[in-house]
Amino acid sequence: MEKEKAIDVYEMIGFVLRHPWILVSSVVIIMSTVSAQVDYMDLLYEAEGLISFEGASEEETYSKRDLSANEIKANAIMQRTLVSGNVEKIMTKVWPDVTESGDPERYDRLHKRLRGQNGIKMNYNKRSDILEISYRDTDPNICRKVVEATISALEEENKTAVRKKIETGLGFLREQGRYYKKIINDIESKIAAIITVLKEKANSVGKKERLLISEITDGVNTSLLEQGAMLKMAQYEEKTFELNMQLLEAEKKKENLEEMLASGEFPATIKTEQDHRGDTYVEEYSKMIAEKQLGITNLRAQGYLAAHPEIAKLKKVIEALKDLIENRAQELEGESLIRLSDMAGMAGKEAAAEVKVQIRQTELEIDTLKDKIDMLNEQYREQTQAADIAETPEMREISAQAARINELRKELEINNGYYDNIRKQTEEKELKSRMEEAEAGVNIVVIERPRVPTDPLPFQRQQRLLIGLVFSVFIGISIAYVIESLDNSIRSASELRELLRAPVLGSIDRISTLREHAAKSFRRRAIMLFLAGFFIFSRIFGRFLF
Amino acid sequence: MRYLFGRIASFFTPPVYVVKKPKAANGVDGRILAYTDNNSTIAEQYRVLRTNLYSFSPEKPIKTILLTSSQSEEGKTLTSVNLAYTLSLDIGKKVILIDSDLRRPAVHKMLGCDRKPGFADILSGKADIEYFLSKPAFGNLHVIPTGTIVDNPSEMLSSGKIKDLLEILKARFDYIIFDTPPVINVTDASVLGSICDAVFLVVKAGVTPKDMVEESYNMLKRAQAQPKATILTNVIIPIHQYYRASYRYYYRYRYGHGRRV
Repeated sequence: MEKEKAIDVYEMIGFVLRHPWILVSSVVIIMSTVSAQVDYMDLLYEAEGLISFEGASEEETYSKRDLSANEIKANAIMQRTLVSGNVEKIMTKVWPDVTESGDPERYDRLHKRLRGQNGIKMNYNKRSDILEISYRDTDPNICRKVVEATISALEEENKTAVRKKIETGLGFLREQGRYYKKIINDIESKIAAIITVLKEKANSVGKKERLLISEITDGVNTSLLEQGAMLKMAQYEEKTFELNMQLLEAEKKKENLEEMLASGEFPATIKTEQDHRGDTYVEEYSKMIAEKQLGITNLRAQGYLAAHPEIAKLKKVIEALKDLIENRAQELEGESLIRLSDMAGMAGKEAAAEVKVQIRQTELEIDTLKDKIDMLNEQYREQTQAADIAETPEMREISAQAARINELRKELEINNGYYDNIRKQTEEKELKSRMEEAEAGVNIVVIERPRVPTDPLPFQRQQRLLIGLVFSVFIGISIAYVIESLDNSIRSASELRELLRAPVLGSIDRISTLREHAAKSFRRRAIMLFLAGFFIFSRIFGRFLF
Repeated sequence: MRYLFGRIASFFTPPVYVVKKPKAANGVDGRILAYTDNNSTIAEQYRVLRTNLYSFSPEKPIKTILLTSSQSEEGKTLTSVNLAYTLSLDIGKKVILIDSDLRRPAVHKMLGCDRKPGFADILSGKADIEYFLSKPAFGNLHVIPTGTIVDNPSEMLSSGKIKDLLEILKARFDYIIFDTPPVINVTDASVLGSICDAVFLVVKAGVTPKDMVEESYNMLKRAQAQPKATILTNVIIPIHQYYRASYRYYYRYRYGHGRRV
């Protein structure tokens, strides 16, 4: 088996040795052109700059890939630096004469080159936390300039990025601050307006009133509040309002009933408030509603706004209770409907009698209400007198204004709280940004500035020659292979035997004559001469071609 | 420098025999190595060929041999002369070589003898065969050259006279070798081949395309002259085979006059 393998190798290269001159001439031709070119080729130089990211946490690692904070930062900065805008900056710095309008082709070419494979190279060395920036070019000065320009672009990019991040955050906070400041100013101006009005009024009222006004304008909590008089006044207002509404309803009802009596028409249903007034459920619900309403009044007297969550809660409960009363009323109505439908069968006279009864009841209601209202008024008069307050409309107005001022003051306090909070946040952020900016400047340190390279990159010529050699050998071998494969003659006895299936009696070696030999050597010499000539030619004319 | 280059180059090229003298003393072609340089490797190869011929068909001995090839310039004349001479060297064997290529005779050139009178004359009755059979023209080898060139060689060869001639020759000789024109060009070989015991196809390595060889083989087969074997000439052994020990031994065993190029 091994012998066969060895033969295979020889057979594989054997075809080349059958046409040695093809390989030789291809090598000579290609290598002479390559060597001529190599003599005149422009060598590349490389300039390098080193940047380190110091100061940031060295122990921090993010994600499973174990990227350090520095690496993430480095990657981000690298990407941002090689953005189109920065490349243009670098180009204007290094090649000021090449502009987009002046020489668009060259500009484009340079731009593509800088961003492409043969352009600015940035490599972040994880182990030493150093960013290497390098650039290769045939002109050593250009190399250095490009790397220098890239470093400054990188520093710029780093600073602007940090600044941008801070600016957006701060801007938002500043907006909010302005918003709250406006509200505060609004409230303050409202308060000031009321105070001005009161101060003006002070000249035209009595002594007691003046005292009250001065207390208000000085911003002190009035004695009225401490005595709970404000509370009672608010309570009084609400109660009288309710009673008045009830009075109005009762009077309306009476009117309707009198109309009905006058017209002589009696509908099948008569709404009787009495029915569900006396119902126990309704009574309970009404009691609860009254309790809640009292609670609301209390809170309002303490200065809470109508939109306060506690007040809203109570209002909701009141609504619910009112709904329940409605439902109950409807239930009862249904019952009364049944009852009244019996009434419909009754004669007109009986119905009229019923209506009259109802009218009488309603009149009684009205009287009761009126009494209640009078009683409340009495109470109020007593209380205000007890509190040593003259019951003048001016006093009432002033106290209303005072209440309003208190409301506004509470609002002001709340808004001031928001505003202070935002102001604190803004200050913090501003401080932080200043620190970060300072840090950003320190974080990037240029360890090594790029120098003008004195020596070109090593082994460029040798590399090119080697490539030429390999290529020429390959070409030679492939041409030899092609020629071999085109030759379909018989070369060995085994081939012949295989072809004709007839035995080969014998194989005789080649007999060559002197003439053939002479022709062969002549051919060989001619080829050698030609190749030598080609070599010399390439040497001489290489200067002009490359 | 040139010497060094030559030495290095010769390492990569296998040995090829170069005939120094194109024509030997008595007009014999230098390439008849069986005669001029009997100790050379090529002469040895002819002897191998002879041995193979002896053992080729033991049950039915071959007397009449026809050598032909697919196209011209394949070395059939050279091979036939060399083979005939090598056969004649064997003491006790009587061999006669007949040049039946009536269009381009070559045997007389190789052996340095006259073309006429020859085979064509015998067939046309103008010459007597005894003239050729009396004494060997070349060493121990009897030769009948072509003779007068005629217009209708194919007709002459297909006449009945050939059969009579063969009868006479078979009685007197052990081996009768015919050298004929190529198969593809003319039908002489096919015609003659049908009356011979064995037809051998001479193939020149590196020159004859495979399809042509196959075509000539088929043509002969159709004419009832199927070649029993082939002879391969102009073989150059590849270097990797040359450098195998056995070959090296084989080639260096006999010192030859030829030099490596």
